Amino acid sequence: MEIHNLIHYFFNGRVFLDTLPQLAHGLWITVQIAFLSVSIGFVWGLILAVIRVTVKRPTNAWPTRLLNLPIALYVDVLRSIPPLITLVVIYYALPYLGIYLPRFWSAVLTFVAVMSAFAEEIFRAGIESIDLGQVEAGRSLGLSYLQMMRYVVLPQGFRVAIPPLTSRMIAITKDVSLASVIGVADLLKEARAAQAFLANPTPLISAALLFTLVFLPLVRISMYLERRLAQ
Amino acid sequence: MKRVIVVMMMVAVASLLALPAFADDHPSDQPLRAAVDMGFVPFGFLTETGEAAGFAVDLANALAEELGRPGAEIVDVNWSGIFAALFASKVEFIVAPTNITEARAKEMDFTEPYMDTAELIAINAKDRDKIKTLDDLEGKVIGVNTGSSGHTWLMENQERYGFKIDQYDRMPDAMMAVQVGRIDAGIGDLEAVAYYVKDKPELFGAIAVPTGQQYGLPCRKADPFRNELEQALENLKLNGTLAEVHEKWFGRPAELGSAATLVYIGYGVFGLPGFELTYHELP
Repeated sequence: MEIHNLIHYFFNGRVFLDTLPQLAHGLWITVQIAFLSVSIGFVWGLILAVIRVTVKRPTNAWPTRLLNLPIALYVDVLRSIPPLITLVVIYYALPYLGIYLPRFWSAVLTFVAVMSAFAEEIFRAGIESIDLGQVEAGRSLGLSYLQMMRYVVLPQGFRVAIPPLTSRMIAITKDVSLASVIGVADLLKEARAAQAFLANPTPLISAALLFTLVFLPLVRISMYLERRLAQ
Repeated sequence: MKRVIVVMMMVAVASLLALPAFADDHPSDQPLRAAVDMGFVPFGFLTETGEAAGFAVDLANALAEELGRPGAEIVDVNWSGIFAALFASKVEFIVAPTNITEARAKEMDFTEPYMDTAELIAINAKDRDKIKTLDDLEGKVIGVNTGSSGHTWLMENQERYGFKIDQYDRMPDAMMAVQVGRIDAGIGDLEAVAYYVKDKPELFGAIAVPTGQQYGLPCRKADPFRNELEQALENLKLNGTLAEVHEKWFGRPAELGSAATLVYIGYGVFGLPGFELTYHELP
C-alpha cells in the first residue's frame, strides 16, 4: 500500500470532519459512563476497604471477623469475571427475573461493581501498609477509631493507592467500549458504525485520537497528584 | 505538536499493517484469500467440529476453483476491521455479504451483484397480532447491527414511521434483546434473520422490507483482479453453481432473473463508481 493510500484510508481529513459530530456524541456517552462508574466505584470501594480492615482486626470476636468473608467474595468474584459477562448477565439475563435496567445504567452498574472491587483491594493494601505502631499511637493520643482512620491512616494510604488507582481508572474507561454489546452507543461503537457506512477506517483513528485526548490529562493529573502527595 | 502526533500515529499504523512489499497481491499458486466475518449464520460460521461453513465459504471455494487457484483460504476478520484488512492487502477481496452502496463504492470496486436481498423485521411472537405493517412500528424500539444496511434503512425511515433505533454489535444480539422483551423488534438482512428466527419460537419474522439491496464482492479500488473475479462469478452464475449454493443454504432455489442468475453488462455495478463498460465474452 502506497503512502497516499494510507493517508486516504486512515487519515482522511474529509471523513474525519464528516464523522466528528457522531464520534463526539459517542465520546460524551463514554465519558459519562466512565465518570459515574469511577467516582461511585471509588467511594464504594473505599467504604468496603475500611469496613473490611475494621472487621478483620484480630482484637474482634470471631463472628465480627466473619463479616470479612462476604466482602472478600464480592471482591474476588468481580475481579475474576470478565466485565463483558457481567454486562451480558445484567442486561440480557435479569429481564427473566423481571428486572429491566436501562442500558446506560446496566453499564454504569457493571463498571461500578468492577471499579469498587479493584478499588477495595487497592485501598486495603494502602491501609495495611501503614505501620500498626501509628494506629496505636493515634489511639493513645485519644483519637477515636474513625478519627484515627481519617487523619492518620487514610492520608498515607491514599498516597500508596493513587498510582494503581489511576491505571485501574484508565483500564475501566477503556472497558466502557464493551458496553456496545448491550447497545450503548459509545465512542468506539460510533467509530465502527461510521467506518462501516463509508468503508473507510479513518473514524477508528479519530476514535484513538479522542481517547488520547481524554487519557492524556488523566495521566498528567495522576502524576501531579503523586508528586504532591509525596511531599 | 499536532503534526508530531499525526506522524507518530501514521508510523504506528504503518508498522501495524506491516505493509506488504511484494507486488503480486494475487499469487496464482496460492489459495485465494477471502475475508469473512465468521459467526454470521448462514453466511459464514464455524461448525461444531470447528470447520468454516456457510454460503460465503462455499462461494469463496467455488470462485477459487473457477480462477484456477488451489482452494480458498477463509480469513476471519471482524466486521469493523474488514475494510481495513482489504485495503492493507491482508485479503484479496471480501466474500462476507456486503451490501452495495454508493458511499462504499467510492472506496472500493464492487463486482456485479450476486444476490438480491431485503430487510426483515422480526418481533416477539406474542406481538404477532399487534405489529403487522410498518405503520404499526410507531413509538416502537427496533434493534439493529451498527453500520449494517438495516441501520441505514432505519435512519432513512425513522421520521416517516416514528420508531426508535437501538444499536447492537451483531444482529443476533439485537434479536436476543427482542427475545427477552427488552425491545420491540429487530431488523437485519432477510436471509440471515429468516435463518436466525427459524428455530426460535419466541421470535417471528413479521415484516419484509423490499429495499432493492444487492450483495457484491468488494475489491480494492482500481485492482485489475476485480474483473477476473467478476468473470469467475459470471461463470458460476451461468453453470448453475451459484444457484446450487444458494439453494443449499437458503432452502429455496434462486429466482430466475434475480442477481444470483443474471449476468450484468460490463464490470462492476452500473451507475456507481468503479463501473467499466467493457465488452467481454461469455464462456
